[in-house]
Amino acid sequence: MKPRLLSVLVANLFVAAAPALAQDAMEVSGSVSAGIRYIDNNAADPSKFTEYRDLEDGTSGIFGFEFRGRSQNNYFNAYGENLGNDDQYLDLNGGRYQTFKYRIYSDHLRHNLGSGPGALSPFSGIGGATITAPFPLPAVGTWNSFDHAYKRRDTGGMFEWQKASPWYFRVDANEIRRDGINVYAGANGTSPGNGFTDLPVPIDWLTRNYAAEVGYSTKRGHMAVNLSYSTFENENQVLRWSNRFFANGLDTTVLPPDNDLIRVAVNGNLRQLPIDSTLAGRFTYSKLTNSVPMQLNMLSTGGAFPATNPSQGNFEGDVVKYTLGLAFNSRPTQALDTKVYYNWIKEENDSTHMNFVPGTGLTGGTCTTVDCSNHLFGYEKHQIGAEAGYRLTRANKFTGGLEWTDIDREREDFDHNEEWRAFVEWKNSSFDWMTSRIKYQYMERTGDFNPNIPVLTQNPMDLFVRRFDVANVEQNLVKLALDFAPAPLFDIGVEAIYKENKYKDTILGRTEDTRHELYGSVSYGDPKRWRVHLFGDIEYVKFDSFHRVGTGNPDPGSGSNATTFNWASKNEDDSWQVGIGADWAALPRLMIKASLIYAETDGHTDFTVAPGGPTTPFAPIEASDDTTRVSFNLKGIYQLDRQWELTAGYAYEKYRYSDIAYDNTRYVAPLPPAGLTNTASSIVTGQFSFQNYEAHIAYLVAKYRF
Amino acid sequence: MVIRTAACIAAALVIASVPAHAQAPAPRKPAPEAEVCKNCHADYVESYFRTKHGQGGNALGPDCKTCHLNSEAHAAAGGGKGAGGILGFNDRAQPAERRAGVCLSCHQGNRHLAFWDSGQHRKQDVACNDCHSLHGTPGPGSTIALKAPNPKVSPYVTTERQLQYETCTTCHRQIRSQLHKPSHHPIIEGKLKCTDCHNPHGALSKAMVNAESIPQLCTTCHAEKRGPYVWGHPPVEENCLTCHNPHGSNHNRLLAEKAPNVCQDCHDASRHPGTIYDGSGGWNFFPPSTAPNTRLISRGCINCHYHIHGSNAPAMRGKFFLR
Repeated sequence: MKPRLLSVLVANLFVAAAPALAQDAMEVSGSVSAGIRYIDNNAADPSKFTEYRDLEDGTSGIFGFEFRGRSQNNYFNAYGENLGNDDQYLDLNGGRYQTFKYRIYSDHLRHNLGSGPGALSPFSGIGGATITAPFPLPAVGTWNSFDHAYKRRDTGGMFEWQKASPWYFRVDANEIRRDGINVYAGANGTSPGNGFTDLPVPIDWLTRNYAAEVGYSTKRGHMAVNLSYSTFENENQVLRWSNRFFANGLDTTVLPPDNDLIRVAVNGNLRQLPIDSTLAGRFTYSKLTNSVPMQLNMLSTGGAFPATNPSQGNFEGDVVKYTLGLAFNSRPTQALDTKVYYNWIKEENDSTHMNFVPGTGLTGGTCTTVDCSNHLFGYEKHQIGAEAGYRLTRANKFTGGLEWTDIDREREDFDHNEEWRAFVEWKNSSFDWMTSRIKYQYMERTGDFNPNIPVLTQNPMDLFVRRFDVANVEQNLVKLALDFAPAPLFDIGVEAIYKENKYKDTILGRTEDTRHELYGSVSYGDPKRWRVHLFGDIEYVKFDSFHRVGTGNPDPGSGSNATTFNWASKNEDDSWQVGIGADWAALPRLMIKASLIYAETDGHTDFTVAPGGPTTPFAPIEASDDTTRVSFNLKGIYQLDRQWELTAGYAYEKYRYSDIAYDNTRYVAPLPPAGLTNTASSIVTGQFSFQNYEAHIAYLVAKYRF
Repeated sequence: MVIRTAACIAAALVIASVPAHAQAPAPRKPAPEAEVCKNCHADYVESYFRTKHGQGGNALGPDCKTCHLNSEAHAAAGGGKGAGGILGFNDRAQPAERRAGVCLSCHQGNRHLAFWDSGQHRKQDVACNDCHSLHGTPGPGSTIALKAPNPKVSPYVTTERQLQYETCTTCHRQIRSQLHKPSHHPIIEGKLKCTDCHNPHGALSKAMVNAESIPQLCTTCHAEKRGPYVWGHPPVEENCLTCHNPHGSNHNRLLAEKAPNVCQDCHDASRHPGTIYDGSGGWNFFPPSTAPNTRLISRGCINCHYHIHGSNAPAMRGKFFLR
């Protein structure tokens, strides 16, 4: 932790305690804890095990504290855990009753993505803005290892003042710093078929957010104006990397751009209107800007750097978004509850229109056959809806709703969509021991496909593609929830979901997707003595799609032959898990807590070729993000006396991963030795390939309370 | 620098408030009926005085009958469930509206509840005490006592804090299983809260999210994906959920479907991406494949088209999200 932050936190602790020195005696209670943790993890690449958790192998310390101060008028809470670790958390908040409150915090997180055999690269200079590798590539055994991870440190605070008045103001500020290395990738030759290269990219990002809000809030109504500003800064605007496909010259990858976002929001409501009504609304205006210098040359064939010839030297990003939301809720009678609402979003993209006329030889820059002007996306959405809930009897409530959405887009394939959504729901609580809820929702979306899309000159097959995010679709959704309480301290819950999307007019693209999920849980026990919770979940997700490949007639209706044919894929993602947790006050001073989870995921893809197509069978994909994970936790908490508490725990985890994309990764494809000298070979860092692990965690923590 | 300055300003305001203590109003004394209630409900009365409501200096803190209403009649009737019209918040027969109404009688003017009437929780008969424990003590590292009626079922985590998702998944059950999936936001690890994205107290947005649109919500944290870009990807700019499932996924990067399938659902052409990338093309390739297929291994299509959220590279390098 940076000394300055520590000093600020310590200073504020004293400040918060200052009332104790004044006339307002503050009673402070709390605890400090210290312990050790031992970890034995057998992963070749431990990054999956350590993802979001700072769990290094071997022995390490565990330190934390918590202070709570209370006086007649003031209070504060201070909390810290994982002190000195990459997942450290510090929080100080407090205030004065009915006057003000404040908070400052620091929250660290480490995103672990690869290490050991999961983070190898032929590049030197990793972590900098230029990475180089010789050609031919050195043997994999001599590649450089690096830490594929980045830290995220969020530091911020807020202050809010509202003293005996409906008026209040609040200010918030935080700074999120991310630094480390992430792995991007880039096509070698930029035209299809020449492989790709994994690129370790420096992450040195800083996001700063500031917000101020002034408001007036009473039981009759509320009005607030909020002004916020957010800025994102990337220390590295580009990555230079030696691309062996282009004579090992330095290629350029453009990294996430700096940006500034300003937002003004006005929101409010009026309550206690006739027929027990409330009118609520919100209007926002936001403007996102940046300025990005264009790369004037790009590496191309033979190590040449032809000019890209942009129409403007700088791209000036300028996206403005307006939103309006209104909701009118009323209860004309005790039994009837209604809502009418309207939402509007308009995104105007006034960024620079760019056009490129690249110089000769810029491979992948064949702007003579493809339009090299950017198409700026914007859209406008109107949504109107109404809902009504009627309590037929005290135990039976029926709710229904209807919603209409209209979207205009600056998009070439579908520039307009209209969507109707209707739902009905019945909630029943006729029995003291059971509550049930069933909901059915139907949605239909239609759109205007533009058969004259300009990209047809490049890809005539687009005439038959209906992209699923805008394609015509019928959706059916059923949700069922049951809660049983057959006896005191005994609860049974069941939840079932069925959802299907049928893309009824789709020729090429996703034709259908379905999701089935069933969840059940049982809870029993008195928290003061023992309690147990068991849950199980099964989920089946399926995506069906239809495609065509080949340089022949692009029309799928024209049939299939050996080289141009239709095919379909069925992609299934199944998962299930069971978990059980229990707390048991084994002795008056001993609490035992245990948890066990077994989770499995299983993916599978089948391919079917239309009659007339090639007879060579296409092998299904059997391993598609298949995982099993076992997590076991056991800990005992023993109260030695009023001050001292001892916690001893053991945890076991086992993780197995199998996927066609990562099983048996050999870093270079095609395989060595050809791969090392082949300019079109692909190279990977080994991410996700060696993360299987079996880990044992043991810990002992002593806590002193005061 | 700015953060440090803000912290110092906050500290200065706190210091400035200290002299005001001399004029502080007299602390609130517990209502006399608390002593009567204590005869039968000692645990509840004692626990109440440890809550924020019950703090002596909280002049607006409610007394027993403020929330439970007819305490005198209840006592006169000799006690018992519902006797004398007493309102028991754990009584399942009490309508949510009545229970929430008690809280709103004081808190309706709270700015956090400005959109309560528009939110799904009120429509679904959720009352304040379904989530908040009015007699409970906030868990470690928490300032609000939330209900977590079930034992914790979780992998080992490095935090001792009471995590919000334990409360939310009491009702939103299937979300618990999503959070345990191999790819997930750090929610069970305590680095992200449900309320970082959703406002349980009501919102005008769908799913009560804390923003006007999904991209605006996601880029609050993922600011590097804001752009603006020379070459945008329309589905990205309109809705992140077209490709991602934020609660958890079987697939890396929270993808709703694995690449190349998720890409092929929208993109078809005479060669790639219309080609079948079948099971013969992995690192363990077999005939008819003669090498690993670069559109199937690793990230699939994203190997080459890495900048799928948008690119500022010139010409075709950017148009096809290659650089």
